Amino acid sequence: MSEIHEQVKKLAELLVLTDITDIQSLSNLHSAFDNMALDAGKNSLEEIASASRICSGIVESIVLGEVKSLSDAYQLLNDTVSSIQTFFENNSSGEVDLPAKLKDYAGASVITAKPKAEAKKTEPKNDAVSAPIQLSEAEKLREAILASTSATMTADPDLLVDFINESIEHLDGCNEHLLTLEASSDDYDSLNAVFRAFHTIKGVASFLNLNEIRKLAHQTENLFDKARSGTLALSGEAMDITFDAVDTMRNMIEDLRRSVGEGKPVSTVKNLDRIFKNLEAFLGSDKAVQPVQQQPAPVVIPQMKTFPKRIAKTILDKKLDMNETQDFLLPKEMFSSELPAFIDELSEHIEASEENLLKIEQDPSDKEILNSLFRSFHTMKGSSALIGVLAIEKLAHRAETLLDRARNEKILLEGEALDLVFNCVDILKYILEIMKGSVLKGETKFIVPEFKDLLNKIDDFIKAIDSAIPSAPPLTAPDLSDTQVTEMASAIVNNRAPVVEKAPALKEIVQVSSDVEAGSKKAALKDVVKVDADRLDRLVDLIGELVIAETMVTQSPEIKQVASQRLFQNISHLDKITRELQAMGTYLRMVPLHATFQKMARLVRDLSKKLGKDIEFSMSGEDTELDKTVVDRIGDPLVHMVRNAVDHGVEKTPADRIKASKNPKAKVELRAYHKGGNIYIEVEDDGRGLDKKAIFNKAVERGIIESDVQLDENSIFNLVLAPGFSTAEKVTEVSGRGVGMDVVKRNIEALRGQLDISSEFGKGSTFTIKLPLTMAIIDGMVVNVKSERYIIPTLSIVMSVRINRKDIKTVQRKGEMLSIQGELLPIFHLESIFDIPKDDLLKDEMLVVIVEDSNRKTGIVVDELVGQQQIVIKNLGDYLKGVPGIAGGAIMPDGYVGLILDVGNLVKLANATVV
Amino acid sequence: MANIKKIELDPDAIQGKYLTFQLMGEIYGLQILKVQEIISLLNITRVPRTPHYVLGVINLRGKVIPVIDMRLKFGLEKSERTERTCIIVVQITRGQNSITIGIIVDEVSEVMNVKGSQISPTPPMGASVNTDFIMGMGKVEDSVIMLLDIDKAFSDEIFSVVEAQA
Repeated sequence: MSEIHEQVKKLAELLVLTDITDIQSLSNLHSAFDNMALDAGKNSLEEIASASRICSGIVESIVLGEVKSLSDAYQLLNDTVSSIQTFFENNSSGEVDLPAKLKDYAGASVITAKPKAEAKKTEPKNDAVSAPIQLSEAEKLREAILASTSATMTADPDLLVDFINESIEHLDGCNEHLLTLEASSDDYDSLNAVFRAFHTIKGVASFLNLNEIRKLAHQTENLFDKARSGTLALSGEAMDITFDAVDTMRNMIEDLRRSVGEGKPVSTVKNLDRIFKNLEAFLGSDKAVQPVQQQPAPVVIPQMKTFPKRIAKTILDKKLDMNETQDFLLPKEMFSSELPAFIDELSEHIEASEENLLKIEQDPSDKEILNSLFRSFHTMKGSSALIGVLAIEKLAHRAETLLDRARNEKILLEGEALDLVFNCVDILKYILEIMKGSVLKGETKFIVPEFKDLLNKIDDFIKAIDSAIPSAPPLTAPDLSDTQVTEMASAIVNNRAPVVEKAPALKEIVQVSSDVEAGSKKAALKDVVKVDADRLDRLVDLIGELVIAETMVTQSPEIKQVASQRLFQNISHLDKITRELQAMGTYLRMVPLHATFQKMARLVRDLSKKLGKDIEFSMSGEDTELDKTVVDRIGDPLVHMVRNAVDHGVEKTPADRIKASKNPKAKVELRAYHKGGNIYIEVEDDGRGLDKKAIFNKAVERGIIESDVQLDENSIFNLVLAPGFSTAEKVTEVSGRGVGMDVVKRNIEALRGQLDISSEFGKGSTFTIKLPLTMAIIDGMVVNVKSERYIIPTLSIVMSVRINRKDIKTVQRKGEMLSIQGELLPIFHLESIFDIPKDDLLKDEMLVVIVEDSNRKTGIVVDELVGQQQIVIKNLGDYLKGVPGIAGGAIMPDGYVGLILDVGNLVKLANATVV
Repeated sequence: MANIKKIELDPDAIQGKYLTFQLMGEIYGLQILKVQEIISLLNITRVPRTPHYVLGVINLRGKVIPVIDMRLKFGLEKSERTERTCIIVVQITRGQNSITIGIIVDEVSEVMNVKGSQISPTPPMGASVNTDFIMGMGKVEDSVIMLLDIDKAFSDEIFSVVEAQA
């Protein structure tokens, strides 16, 4: 019974989404009705079965072009489905209150066309009767509500909070659109937007069992559906009612929010009955008007048995037609603006699903995770259908069905089943990437090679499950053959070309949470605002400016002359606020590493399966927050490092590990933590470790080093990072490391980070990435060189020493070396590299700042150390991009621009200049 | 090459308002839509290892922008600083991007409306003078204004050509 109820719900959804001019969606609808007729018949719900059959007949007539008034026929389908729905919601008791018109159609199918006038007359009467009945139902529902609300609340507060936030967003949008509508009542876009908003609220509310909200949303949705189809003019009274409905809905949502907060039901909405009555009245009254305005539609229902062939043929014919007359396929422009948001939403769901799948793998019986997985796919299915990306819908639907079986404990989600769902996620990801690409580039065609296979596999799998368990209800057969599905998917995507091109460029969005502390993870009622990344950057820029301006004012000699106690108090107050603002600005762009780490977990899973290794992967510190830019860009290097650890780091087989007297289960650990103003990300494995000798020999062979060089441990390890080392075809055999490591190193350096390697042969290795906390602010040492001033990032400074000229040794009269603490370091003069005008004074005392880059130390001779300060990095703009040795500029407290040195680059430059 | 290239000119396409400025007595015109603002000389920080006409960078209300000496850029002698010397902040388009730079000029004169009928093609001036940056010559009253194609003047290829010359 509940199966059919589900089906009706889905059908209702499908109906709303059906574009009545689109053959494909109509044929979907047709098979849905057929299926329902079949299932209802099996459950001896004859009334519903016959109604479904009639509906399917109507759809067929629409396809065959035998219906005069499309909107009339559509309305009838809608009414029928909602009455069936009502029937089920009343616990399947009582009579199915089928629209009278349907019976007319049923009659028509037997006696062919009925006289027009008769059909017209019967309608108002019947509707007048049905309206009060619905009203009393509404009241019944209301009584049952309080209990159900509190039940939901204990169930899933997270979901509720999401729903609340989402709904408020929708309602805000509605208000805006309603105002537009008030100005021009035929604004189709706004009508659609409001309709969709309420439809979404209805969907989620019914999922959460919030019947009162669902009911109101449903009624409002109906009202707008009428307005949309042109049978109701939204003006005057109707407009007031819709505003009223939006307000009431908002109050109800607010109640819900308070209920969640206080843990007990709160209800302040009093006028609900009135609203419902008004809505009913309007929906009713409009029906009474309808027949006068509309052409009645005599429909000849063809014989049922010939149907499938005929419809298939018609589809084919029409398809050809469509190819010839492209303008028949109207682009659904209204969706173009929603595509980026949809893509956003989709990627969130995909991420969440992946995470949950990994958890499920550990414990296939975890109900809660299974449920949330199911919900993710369900939502994806719903929203993709709404947008019209049927490929995703199909896929999500299959995955959902599979998960449903798992939820009903028919199977355990493991082995093949789990792999199938993983595959689904992968393909979804793939499609998502393509959609992103198409939004940006306007490309629209795509081929998903495994798509059909996967759908087949899942279908077979589900069939197998269902046939294995005799008690299982019959599976709803796939609507179309899979070839058709794939075709359809691509057809849909192709048709959507104009939409995609028009879609606004995807903007980088940074999610800002009002709660800065990473530690406090309150699930409930955390307000989240999504902000355009550009605006955020501008804000951070301005904060930086404010700090500078503030310093300039407070440090100005004029202010210092004023001996006023009050002024100084105020200044120190201002100072405090500014600093706080600055700290806040720093944290604005911070996002947790969580999602990135999650990807690595997936990677390890897949790799270890593929390579036949037994690996225990653990993560810690995934809540560590990093600048959004860094988090976005750290992914690739991490993939390389994790892949190396699994592929080359860990011994080839568990047997090899046993031989080395280790646990056959290898460990790979991913860690993130704060230390001393920096963020550290480590990948550690307990595998073979780095073979120093092999690396050294390989490097000599590759011509990276001379065979007679003496190198310490660090330098040897760093050889694997050298470009050219990794191009070896089988590094694996020698060192076990080095696939693309030079790329990794470069990427990390681009983020102003450092990469360190430590390893013990036979025991394992650790790769450590050291990253600055933010991309925007660094600690810098300001140095003077003759008349110019430069900033050296404190991160790369080892120490600064005062030396005597005679401590410097020259090498072949060219390079200069400094011997300090037993180390011999190359030193160079900034003025010669940067052509700074020299004075001829030869001082005996010199100040050398010793910097370190990739474990190589170098001395830079400067004239004066001015001091250390926090510096907001600015780039020099596109025009001066890539000036060698300069990493960027910074506005100094005096308003001048100071240049920040790019130490790594500078060292290279120095060597090139000297030699 | 420059003088061999056929110059196609549609005077109506480039007519409009021009901000005129002077370099060593010559009058140049800059399409007004390209101009962001005019500021007095600020403290310039030299950026090493850049072409000689790039004087450095300035702090324009929190944004770091490069400053170019137009005299050096056009192969004239280095400008002297007078009280009339100023920086015109312009938005140039390079490919898809819009770049903000400052150009140092001797003095800013006025905003002029140059009609299509007043614009004539740039006459060939021999190989020594690079006329690639000049869209056309505007003759308004007694003065001749060289209408500058600022995007072209700072496009990549010209950038390297001038660098090679210098």
